[in-house]
Amino acid sequence: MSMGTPASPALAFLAVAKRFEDRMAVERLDLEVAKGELFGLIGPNGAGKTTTIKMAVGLLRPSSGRILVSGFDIQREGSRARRLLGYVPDNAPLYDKLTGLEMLELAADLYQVSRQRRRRRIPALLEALDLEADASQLVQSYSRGMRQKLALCAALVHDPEVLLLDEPTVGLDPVAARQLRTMLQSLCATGHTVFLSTHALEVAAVLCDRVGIFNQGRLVALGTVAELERTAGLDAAGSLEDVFMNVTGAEDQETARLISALGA
Amino acid sequence: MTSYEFSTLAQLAGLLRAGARGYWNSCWRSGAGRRVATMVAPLVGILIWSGATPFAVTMWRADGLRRGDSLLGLVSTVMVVLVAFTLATSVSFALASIYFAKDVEWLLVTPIGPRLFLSYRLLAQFLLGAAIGTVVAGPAVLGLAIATGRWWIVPLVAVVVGSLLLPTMSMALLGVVAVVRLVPARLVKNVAGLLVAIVGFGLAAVDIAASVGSGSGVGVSTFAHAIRSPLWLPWSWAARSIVDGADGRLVPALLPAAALGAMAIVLTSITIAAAGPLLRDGWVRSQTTGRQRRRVRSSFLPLPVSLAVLRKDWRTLRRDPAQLIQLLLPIGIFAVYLLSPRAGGLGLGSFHDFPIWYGPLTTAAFAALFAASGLGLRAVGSEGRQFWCLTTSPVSTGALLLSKLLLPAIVAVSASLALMVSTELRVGTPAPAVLFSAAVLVVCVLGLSCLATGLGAVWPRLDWSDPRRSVGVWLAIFFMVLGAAYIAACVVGLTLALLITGGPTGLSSLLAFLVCLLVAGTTSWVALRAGHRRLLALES
Repeated sequence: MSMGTPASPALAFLAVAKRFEDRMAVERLDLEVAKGELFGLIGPNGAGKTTTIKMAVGLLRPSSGRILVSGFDIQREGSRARRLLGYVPDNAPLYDKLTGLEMLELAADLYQVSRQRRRRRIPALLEALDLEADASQLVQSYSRGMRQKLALCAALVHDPEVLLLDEPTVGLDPVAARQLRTMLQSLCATGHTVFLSTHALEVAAVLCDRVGIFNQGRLVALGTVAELERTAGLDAAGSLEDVFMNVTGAEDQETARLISALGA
Repeated sequence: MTSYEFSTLAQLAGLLRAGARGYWNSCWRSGAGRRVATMVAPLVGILIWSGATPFAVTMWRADGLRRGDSLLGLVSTVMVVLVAFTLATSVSFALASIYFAKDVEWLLVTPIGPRLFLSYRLLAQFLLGAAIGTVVAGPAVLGLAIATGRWWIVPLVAVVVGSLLLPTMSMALLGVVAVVRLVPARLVKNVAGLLVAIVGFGLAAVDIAASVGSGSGVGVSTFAHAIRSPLWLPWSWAARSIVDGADGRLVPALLPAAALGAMAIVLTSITIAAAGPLLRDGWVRSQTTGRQRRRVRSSFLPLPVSLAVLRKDWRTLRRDPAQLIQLLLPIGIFAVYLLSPRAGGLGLGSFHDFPIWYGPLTTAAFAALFAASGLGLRAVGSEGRQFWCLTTSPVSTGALLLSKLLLPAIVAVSASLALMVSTELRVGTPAPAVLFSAAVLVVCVLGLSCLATGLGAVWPRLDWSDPRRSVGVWLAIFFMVLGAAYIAACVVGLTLALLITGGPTGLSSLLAFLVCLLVAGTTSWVALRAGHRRLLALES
């Protein structure tokens, strides 16, 4: 694993805001994710989760504020910061005309992974995610789940310090989803940091050390699942889903909207 | 449940309206930069028209041009070239819009019929073609109207040319639908390139055959001369209608125009009716991806980033025959002309006052223009939605842009060099002249590749589902104009240096080379810097 500044948090959002022409996608986000932490970002569609992750990997520039990856500013020291990052986008677009193995070789080349390391790591990743048998197929023939797994392999080839995943479980079958969960937990156990966004609240509840709830570009709740349940005043039977509905006020609005649309 | 009643015309109007809204939104609602470009483009267009129209008026007023056969010859040639160009481009366009556009799947499950779907695509293509044609040919037609004082020539030309090209497009569409219905599923995506290659090489072969038969030089004009006269050919009707119109004979002008209009309606209706039932099966085939296992044995050998990107680009290109043929076709056609028995190259004889390498060099540089357009212009755009793979890696933007330049530069330089040297050797060019012209060509083509890659980075189109659409049509036209101007600047610089220093001596050759180097270097620096700045500002 390539290491950043030891004392710095793995990922720090310092007063980060992002404005698209006519709307505020993210409003003044202050958040620190510690090394070895598995952090989950949840929120309704259009809440700003993907924008936040894209800013963290440098695909989007914050309108204001800074994002530090192990102490390196992703905008000013992009190359050094990106060396520490692995990223799996939602519905990852990959090079269709490369084979799975060639795609991983490309990722290894981009991150300048040594020959010994890639010889060890690429077969291990392919085996861990059950892609060995399909490594010589063109990516264009992969299912969505296989693409997602290949993107994860590509993100892990250089053994990144911080792994960012946007909706990582979408498209995965239950077995693959469980494999992913186990893999993420073992990554964190070995000192890696994982920052993921998800709609699957049960995944966040089971997996994440801490959860942030995003709504309309703002971080409206932050803490462990137990802390959030306590803050929301739920009894023992309450779940993260109840917290989510409570915090975002989604339940009442959604129900009213659904009834209204069906009756139109 | 609600019941709906469908009207075909209303559906067609709805689809066209949605298409127009899409264009409008991409011009006006896709950021401030696009809005500015949308406002600036018409102003630039008006400026160009203001300059070109008086020039066209002067040309049309020239006695030689307006007299009898020379006008008919010119218009016939233009009509033949238009039909050939439309035929060749329509194959690719039809495949892209019917089988590989993002909205096809959705449209095919809505209650619009396949014939309506095809009509919509055909009309959209026709309207886009009409817009491009208006921009490009507008000043010439306007000039003709002003020169003759007959304003009705403008709608007459529009109707005649439209009626000639609409059935051409529909025939290409029918051909595409029929072939896709027949070929095996795994080959469907390769059919585009194959069809375009057949049409392209077919036209070149007919042109060369016509020139050999007529005994005059090679050229599209020869082909037009050979086949323009027969009255049964539609472009002959179009040419006669326009020429009669220009001469003020209204009725003789309207008769062929009416016949063309009727032919357009009948042929288009027949082709749409015939193609409709074949569409759905072909589409299903086109979506079936054959699983092709490749023998991949990794050496796990690390490569520098630039070579890794080059290897990736090369693999992507060679595994996509449609793109590969699209790239090779123009180079192949240049090769066919340069190496054909009678040719002596594309008008090589017209360079007889200059050194022997002059013609091959200029022709090869223009062949490189197509290679640069096919690869360099789309170097960044071809990344599409996969661009994140590169931009989230630690590779710097500058290194990334230079890596993307490698493949176009290598292909354009080697292809043009092979064309030029083989032609030079065939016409017995001395070795020092071959070496000098090779050095000039390499510099010129490298500059061209930088220009293409830089421009492609300034306006990358990363949101596509078919890689052939990774470059917008306007950018492609702009690059062809700019690239041709760049080659002209290199050649003019070279010529001036040779003329000023009194001929191809050692000193004048060195000076000519330095002039070319200066033009290429400046162009490369400006284009790559602009592309680099744009990529730095790009958010995806």
